[in-house]
Amino acid sequence: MLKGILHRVLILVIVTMVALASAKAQTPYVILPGSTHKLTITDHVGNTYEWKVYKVTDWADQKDALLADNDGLAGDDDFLFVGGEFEKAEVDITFLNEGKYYAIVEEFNTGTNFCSSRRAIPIEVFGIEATIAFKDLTSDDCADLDPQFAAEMIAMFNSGTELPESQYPITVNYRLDGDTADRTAIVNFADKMFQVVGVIEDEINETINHISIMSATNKYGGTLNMVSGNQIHTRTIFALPAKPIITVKN
Amino acid sequence: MKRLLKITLVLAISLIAFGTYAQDATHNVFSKHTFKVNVTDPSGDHTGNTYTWTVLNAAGTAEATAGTFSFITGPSAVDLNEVEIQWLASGDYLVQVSEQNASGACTTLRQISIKVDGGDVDLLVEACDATGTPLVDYTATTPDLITLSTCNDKSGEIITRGSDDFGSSVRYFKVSMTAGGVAWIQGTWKFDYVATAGTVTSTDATVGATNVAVALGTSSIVLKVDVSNTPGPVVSESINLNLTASAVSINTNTGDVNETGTVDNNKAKDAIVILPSPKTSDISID
Repeated sequence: MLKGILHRVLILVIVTMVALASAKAQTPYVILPGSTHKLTITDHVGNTYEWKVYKVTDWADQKDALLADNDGLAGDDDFLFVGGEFEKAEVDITFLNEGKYYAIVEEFNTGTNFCSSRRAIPIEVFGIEATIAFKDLTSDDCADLDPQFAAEMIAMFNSGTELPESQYPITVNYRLDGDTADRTAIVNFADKMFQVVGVIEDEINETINHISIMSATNKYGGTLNMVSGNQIHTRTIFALPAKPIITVKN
Repeated sequence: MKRLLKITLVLAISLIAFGTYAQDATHNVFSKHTFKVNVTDPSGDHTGNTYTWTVLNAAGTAEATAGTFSFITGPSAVDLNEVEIQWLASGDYLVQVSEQNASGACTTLRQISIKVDGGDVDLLVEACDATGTPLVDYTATTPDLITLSTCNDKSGEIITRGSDDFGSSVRYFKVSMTAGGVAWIQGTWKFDYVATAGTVTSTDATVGATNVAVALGTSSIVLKVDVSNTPGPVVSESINLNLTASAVSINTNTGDVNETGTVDNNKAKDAIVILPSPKTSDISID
């Protein structure tokens, strides 16, 4: 009886371990659309390499079901090999569109036997899951002739996860009222502060500045989407009271 | 003179032909044969008669030397009109049966002459495919050895992420046993083996850690060798796989008879070469 129970427990443990191992093997590396990543394997002098990227509808799909004309070398593909280079131990790939991908490299031995090994990595390209927004939509200050201030930003990897440090710094393109071209600011992980330059400071008239985020990208050039209604920060600069004239009465 | 020569030649050929014809049958050494009398006799099976079988020298003057033959059944009993004999040495023999009436001492003798061809107990090891077809045709003028060198079985396959298990390769060796020049199926046979790599199994025989036992009725087997791959960047990391047999013997009715043939054939003439795949690292991404 005891032996039977132990046997079943052992089987359960083994099955669980196998399941966990499989699950781990399938965990994709998640990236943002538009980002460029460096994929590397150890370089063996004399060997040759060939990278391919396959788009799948399900992780269980055959990894090497190559979609027609999606070789990363033409302009209308879901991904691009930077510089058209796909035959090195290290390549840069820009992932343009949302989807599930397998990047696979095949390494061929030097010589004439052409024996090879292949390695694969699952990569999931997010759609609009990653976002950036102002923590506060309004702020104010007295006019002090200093045209810059900092606003804290909130960047999310998806709805429940803050953007990890590995994704910083974030490049934010923004405009102030009347701008016809984007300004650029860098947001670091440490303080997450967005340094805005160019705010109109008027000591006489109250001024309202709108800071509009036009776009934002992570460290790899991946797109962070605007949270609707939270991409504009309103900065009010109060005018100073009329300067009183102090007179001496006696 | 010329006519005399022709007559001599015809006479010589006739004598040779007669000599050959004098043998009632030719058997291979170590082969087993059944000898029968009265099986188709219209008068019946002679129930109650006693049969005594003997194997004599070619002249019929004495019993054949001990150890040159063996009665598997027999040699003497009532109603024993059929016996099985195994030949253990080459030579010329007379198989004789003496049938004695149940009622008295009157007997009838019958003889049959047998020529037993010589030959070795010989084992042959060849590299082959899964079906047992040899990989190299050594009868060709220039044997094509390239068929022996192939990529490992995992070549071109995706290595599991997070793992450095580069899998294994399966290769095969055909082992054939002959005795007296013919395939040996009339007894069990066995041998010890050493493989240069891998684990040996077979569905054709009982395979132990260092030995193989083959059942009666099987003259050749296919051994499967499962070898862990050794990935590496250079071809010199190839696996040279061969299998060498030793202590080869067949089992006869009187016991084991060791191999007497060419022991050079006890391993494949040329080793199988399993070529390595690169030891490709996991993909890192940044």
